[in-house]
Amino acid sequence: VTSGEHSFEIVVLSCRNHCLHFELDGVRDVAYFAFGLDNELWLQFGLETDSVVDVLLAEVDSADSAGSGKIIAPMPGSVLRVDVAVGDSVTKGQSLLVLEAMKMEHTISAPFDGVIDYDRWCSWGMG
Amino acid sequence: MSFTKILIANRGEIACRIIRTVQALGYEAVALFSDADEDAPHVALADLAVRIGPADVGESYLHIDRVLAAAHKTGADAVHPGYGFLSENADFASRVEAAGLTWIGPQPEAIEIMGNKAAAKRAVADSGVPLVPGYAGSEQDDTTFVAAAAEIGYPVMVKAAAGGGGRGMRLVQTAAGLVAGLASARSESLKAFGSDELLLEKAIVNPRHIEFQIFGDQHGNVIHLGERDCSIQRRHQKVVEEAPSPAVSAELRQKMGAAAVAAAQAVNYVGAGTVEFLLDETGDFYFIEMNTRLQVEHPVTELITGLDLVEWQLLVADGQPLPLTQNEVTLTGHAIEVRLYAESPENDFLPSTGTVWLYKAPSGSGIRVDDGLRSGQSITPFYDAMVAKIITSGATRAIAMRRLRRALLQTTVLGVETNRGFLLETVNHLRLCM
Repeated sequence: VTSGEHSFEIVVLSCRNHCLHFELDGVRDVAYFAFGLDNELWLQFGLETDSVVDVLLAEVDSADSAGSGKIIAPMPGSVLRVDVAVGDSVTKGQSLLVLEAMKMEHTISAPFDGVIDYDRWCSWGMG
Repeated sequence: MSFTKILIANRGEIACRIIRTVQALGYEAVALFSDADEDAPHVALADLAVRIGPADVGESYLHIDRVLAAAHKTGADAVHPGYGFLSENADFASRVEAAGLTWIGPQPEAIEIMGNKAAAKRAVADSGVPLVPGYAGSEQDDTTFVAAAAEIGYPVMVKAAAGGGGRGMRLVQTAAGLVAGLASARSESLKAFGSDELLLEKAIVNPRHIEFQIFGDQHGNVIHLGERDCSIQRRHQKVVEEAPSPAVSAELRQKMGAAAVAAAQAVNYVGAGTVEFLLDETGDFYFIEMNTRLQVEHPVTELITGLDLVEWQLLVADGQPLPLTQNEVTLTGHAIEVRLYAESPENDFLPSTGTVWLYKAPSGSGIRVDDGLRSGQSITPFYDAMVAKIITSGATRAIAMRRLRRALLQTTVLGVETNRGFLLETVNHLRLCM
């Protein structure tokens, strides 16, 4: 797991009944998790409780218009399939590629209308 | 009067807690539920449960006719009101008795008197119970209050006579702020309690909130079961409650306990009640009010006395004498309670609603949890946001506090925000102060 400049190696020992037993830097510990609606993941570890939304599965918000223009993979994974090529015009919601992460396939859709003008990700199978 | 089937006119953790004792003693428990609560734990625990109306409290838990109809329909012959809702409603208590049911609570007259802070002070004034210097008269014009405040001396507290829970309460530092303080307390009081009657009290600087659990029976006996220290509050709402108080010596306990018993005797009190005092830094104490019901924080008293206060309420309602005399009451060890709320401390403590996807209560030696929560339950905006009380005990305050810290680390609520982190920080802070 990489967070900012720091990298950690987390070994998952078991993950069932909402309990995630893991080993981090030689220390065994436990965190608790639950899934809510709308791809929401709730996590508790020690003092902290937090919820995060898995944007890979999020539906396109129709109110969204063009943002920065950059589309960055929301999490590390393997590219299973690429649906567009440089120069293609795409419309909001159209599938761009399919990522595989945690044994799940996630379709990455265009968040806004536009033209594919830079191709850094479309080598098939890249991790 | 003898009874066998008890209707619990409440919901949440307190309904669950009462149902457990009711059933353990062989009585049948009848629960009530609104449309928003059909999957709530108290409904599943009870022997019978009656749907009484929509989510809105005025249409359900506060609707006296519907509560009485539910008792009639199920053949319940006694009513336990819990705390909040109708528990301190003298009219409800009278209606229960008029319907031929046993009211598990004090007499309606005592509820009526103690429900009005000004009337309560008038009632106990002749019994040698020390009162905060103040004005609790019937003249309610600003001129009278201004003159009274000048005589009492600033700072003063402006309070709603019918108040409770910190509403209708204003701290006024100097004469310049009094008229504005009166106006805002009046309007808040009118909205919250339907009465704009106010009273003035001298503000006690750096006080401790010390309350005594008292019990009276139908034979004229009144005793106290020691004190609880509820000084850790946020906006006049209790956050941490413990017993015994670290600030009360055996000698002071005897003095304050005698005053608490005298206050209860002034209204011939029957059942469980709580007499609240402010204790200042010099050891002087002042009566503030009496709560005529079981308190939220009653478990800390149970843990240091080894008694079941709901069991005592049922005994007293059944006409039996108190099981112990004052000299037979023993206080052992220390107990601390914190209240877990579905609220967001980072967002000005606003209530947090939604589905609880995972709830895990802590368990272990010296840990007690009174909750009304289970995984999968919806937290709706209609009711109090308290979902559980976490109570720990031990031979010393340090052990109880350490257990509380670990119990909070073990408590898991996922799906709604809670004040768990805030409680942990509070407990860590208290441990540093010990």
